[in-house]
Amino acid sequence: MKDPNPQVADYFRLRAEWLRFKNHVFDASTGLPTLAAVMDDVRRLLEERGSLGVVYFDLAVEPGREAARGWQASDELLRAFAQALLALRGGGGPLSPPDIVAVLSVRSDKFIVFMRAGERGGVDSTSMAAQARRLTEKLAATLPEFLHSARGGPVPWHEGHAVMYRDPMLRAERSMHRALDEAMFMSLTQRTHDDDRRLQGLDEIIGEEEVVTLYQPILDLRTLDVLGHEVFSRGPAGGPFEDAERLFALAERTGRLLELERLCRNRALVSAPHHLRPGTKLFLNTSAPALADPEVSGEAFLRQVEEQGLDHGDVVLEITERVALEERQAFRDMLRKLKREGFGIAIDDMGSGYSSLKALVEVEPDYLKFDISLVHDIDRSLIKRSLLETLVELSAKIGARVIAEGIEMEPELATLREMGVPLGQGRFLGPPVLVGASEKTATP
Amino acid sequence: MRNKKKILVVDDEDDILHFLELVLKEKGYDVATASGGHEALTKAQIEKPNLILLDIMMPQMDGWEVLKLLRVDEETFEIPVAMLSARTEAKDRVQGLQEGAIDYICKPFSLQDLLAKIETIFLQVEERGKAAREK
Repeated sequence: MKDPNPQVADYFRLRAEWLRFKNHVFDASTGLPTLAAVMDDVRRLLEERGSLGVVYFDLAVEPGREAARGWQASDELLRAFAQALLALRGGGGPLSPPDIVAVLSVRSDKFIVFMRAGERGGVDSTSMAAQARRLTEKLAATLPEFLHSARGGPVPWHEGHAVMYRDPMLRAERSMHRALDEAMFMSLTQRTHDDDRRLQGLDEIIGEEEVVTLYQPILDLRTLDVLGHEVFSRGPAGGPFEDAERLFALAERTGRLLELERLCRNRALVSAPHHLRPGTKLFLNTSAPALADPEVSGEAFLRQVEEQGLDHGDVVLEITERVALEERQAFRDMLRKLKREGFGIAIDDMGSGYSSLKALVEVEPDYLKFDISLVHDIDRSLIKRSLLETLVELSAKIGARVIAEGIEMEPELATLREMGVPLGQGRFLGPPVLVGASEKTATP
Repeated sequence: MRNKKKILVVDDEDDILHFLELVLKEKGYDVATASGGHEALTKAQIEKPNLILLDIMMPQMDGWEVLKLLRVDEETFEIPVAMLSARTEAKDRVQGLQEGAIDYICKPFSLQDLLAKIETIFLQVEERGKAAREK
């Protein structure tokens, strides 16, 4: 190839730079401009009105949530929120077309609204508070279902607001940032307040043993027989901890994960004789610290399993990929010891860390679970299909069986069966079902 | 007669670029080439190819960034992109998924594999288009 002449090359570079620039001031997934892109519109509006209201919404998408559900789910969430906000600008809503909606920066989960708040004249902090409340209520009422309930519980979002005034002695941008700081601070205070309340809730759940146990079947995709059940635990229905991710994330953050996991594990084992069909397996989610918990690593766990009339081989410990590949030798030794005792090992969330297979082989897992982001729409994605094909092949080589998680639709199942994926799990095959919510742990 | 499909091949190695251009033309495709990320973005806009074969490892602007920026431009955001990558990269970096690459093709590839993959991609794009129209 000959080098293009310098002028053409310059043009190529310029266009690339322009796209790069555009990529930084417009958020492609929500279609909203970033704060940087609307600065001048805000300044103009402020000069015209004398004062403006700022409302700040923080969705606080938890990294744990994204890791578990895939980035598509987060993108979808943010897009839905953006659309709900924009919809409020039309048809006599609390916002009107000249009001400005933006994201803080590209792919951010923070949204900013600059609103004129009231037909004529300016806003003051009292009228702004009322306007912001109205906006928040309207927004909550129009948000799609999955943002406040359904699919794994509500996404918490927090609001803060402030007023910015035109001040001839100040740059308009300066008063804008000042108002934004104020609004952010307010939403942050709310968030910490909510955290405190949740912490109390966590105390109650652990103290009163209020966790609920659910079973979701794992099926042999060839025969559609039940291989076993994965056990899920969450807080009581209707409460803030109906979202298990939130429950465990908070427990981890506040150092109470071991306690919580002990409770969930006890509950799961106690429920087994009543709900587990003989010959099927119990998949227990276990975190890295819990593996080192004497209640798991010691004799107590063996006794506990045997007391419920379970064979060691009936119990499969499910750990996440990230955890499984930790470099620590002690951790791998622990896994090997559990394997020697006859327990099964499953690696969860495969494909979210995309890590090296060599490290994986050393753990000698019995099952590899591939998560929802790889299974979703697999019938329509070549790249996912070829990736999964390779992974099924490799898994067979290391003697592990693949479990495809998150099967939600018939075409997904058909494709997976066609590809010879041995095991599957998901809403389409059977949703998690409540078991023994009322059975308290037998006191030892 | 059905329209010839146009493929834009992006690679910083001239040998590969030449080779692919030759082979794909032989197989009845229209071919455009770009030897870098900057050029690829403009060529994608001007040539409106039906498919882009995009190398990942390139100086100045790598394939991932090109892929992302193609999605920023209304005129190029729907063009299917298949990533060309060395085998080791593909295993570790499935980012292509995140930015919506339709497939990846590992280097070194056999000619047959490549052509088969291209055909499958076109078939799939057609099906998807049909499905979208039915909606």
